[in-house]
Amino acid sequence: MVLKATPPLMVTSEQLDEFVEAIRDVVEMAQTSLTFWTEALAIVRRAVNI
Amino acid sequence: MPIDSATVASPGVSTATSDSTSNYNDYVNPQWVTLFNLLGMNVEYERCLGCELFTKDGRRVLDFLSGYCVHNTGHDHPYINQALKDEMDRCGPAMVQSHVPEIAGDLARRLCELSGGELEKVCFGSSGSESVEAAIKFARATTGRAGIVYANSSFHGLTAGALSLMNDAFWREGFGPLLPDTHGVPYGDIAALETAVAKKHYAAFIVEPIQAEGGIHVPARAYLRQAQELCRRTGTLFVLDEVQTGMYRSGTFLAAHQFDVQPDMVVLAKALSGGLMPVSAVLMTNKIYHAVYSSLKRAIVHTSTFSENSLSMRAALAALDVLQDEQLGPRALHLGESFRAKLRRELAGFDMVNEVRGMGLLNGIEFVPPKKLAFRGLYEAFNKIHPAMFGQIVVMRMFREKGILTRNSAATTLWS
Repeated sequence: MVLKATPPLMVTSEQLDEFVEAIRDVVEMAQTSLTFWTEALAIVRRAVNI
Repeated sequence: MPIDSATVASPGVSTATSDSTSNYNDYVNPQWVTLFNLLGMNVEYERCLGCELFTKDGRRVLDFLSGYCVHNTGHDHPYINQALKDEMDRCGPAMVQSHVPEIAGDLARRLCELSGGELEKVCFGSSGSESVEAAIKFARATTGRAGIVYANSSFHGLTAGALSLMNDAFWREGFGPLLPDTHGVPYGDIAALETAVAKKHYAAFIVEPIQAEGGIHVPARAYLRQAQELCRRTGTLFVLDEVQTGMYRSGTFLAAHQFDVQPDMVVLAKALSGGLMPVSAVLMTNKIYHAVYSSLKRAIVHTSTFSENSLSMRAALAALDVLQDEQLGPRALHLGESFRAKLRRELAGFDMVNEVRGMGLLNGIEFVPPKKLAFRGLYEAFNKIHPAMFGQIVVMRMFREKGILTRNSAATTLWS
């Protein structure tokens, strides 16, 4: 899986930093917390029921 | 029968419920509404400016998708908006059809000057797909050959001809038969390309200089130069699809400039629009132009109703002004490098992150299954349900918790 990061070209350094910090937090959660996966499971269940 | 999207809204996330959303659900594409509700990403945007989107319920979202590289100049750039207002107030010839639209000439000249090489004529269209179709026709007319070689995992568009140049079964299924005599070769594999074009059977090799939807694949420095050389040697036209890579996204006007190649044709679209008007272009050599438009009788042998409309042309000229005046290419190069360096540094400790790659501000983060057994099992279970499941959860969390809009590359989205 490849996550794209393609902001408008006038993006600021601060906004790029905001992305870096955000993706770091999300990846950390994926690697350390079951919550990330249980929520994914809930979405799968809802999708299956549609 | 419309799907009741309200029943699949994610808990705790306010979901768009206006009449217009309801009409979209009832009359356009209810599956799309359901998908966005499922992910808790169906919000109503009220105002979009630069890199920021503002929702009706007061959230600010940072746009790291840019409409798949449409918004190189950001959302609603005031200069481009004003240029369009002025064009409308002028009450000039928007689409007379039976005249010579000077503004299209102005834009074509500017595109050719920026592109360089032997690209000296332009045929305008309204979308990247439409211009890929044109490039197929022009290649055939120029070479007298029918077949086209393409790179596997490409994304060239969803019209029948463009789709024939993509090997992803998801996009093709149910729409065949597509164009005959198209042949896919692995991206970056010069030996496979050599074998294919050696027969001197194909009209063109069409390729993205950096594969965007295929997963942000930046080829080895020599690949495109060698491909160009093989094409020249075998009478195969060398065509670059720069729909996502062009317009300074990769740091230079064309990604071709970074790889030091001179294509026979280039397809541009998306950011050429200034983010506001549908417009695309095929840039070509004089030789190709004269092969297609070979006589007075063939003066309009390939054209399209909206292709040279004044609003699209004005939007594109204004977008070029902004890109050049604000030095957004060099900025993309400089910021892209530091951005990737920061991502690599911050994500270095996570075994799920395999690679950070890109050029300019066209970047991707590649994920792989985690090493920790419990999470690996879950990852693989989700992967069996749908290969995009993990990525979609990342996208969803980035959006809902961090206020950042992004997307997986098309090869790994929930709808592929």
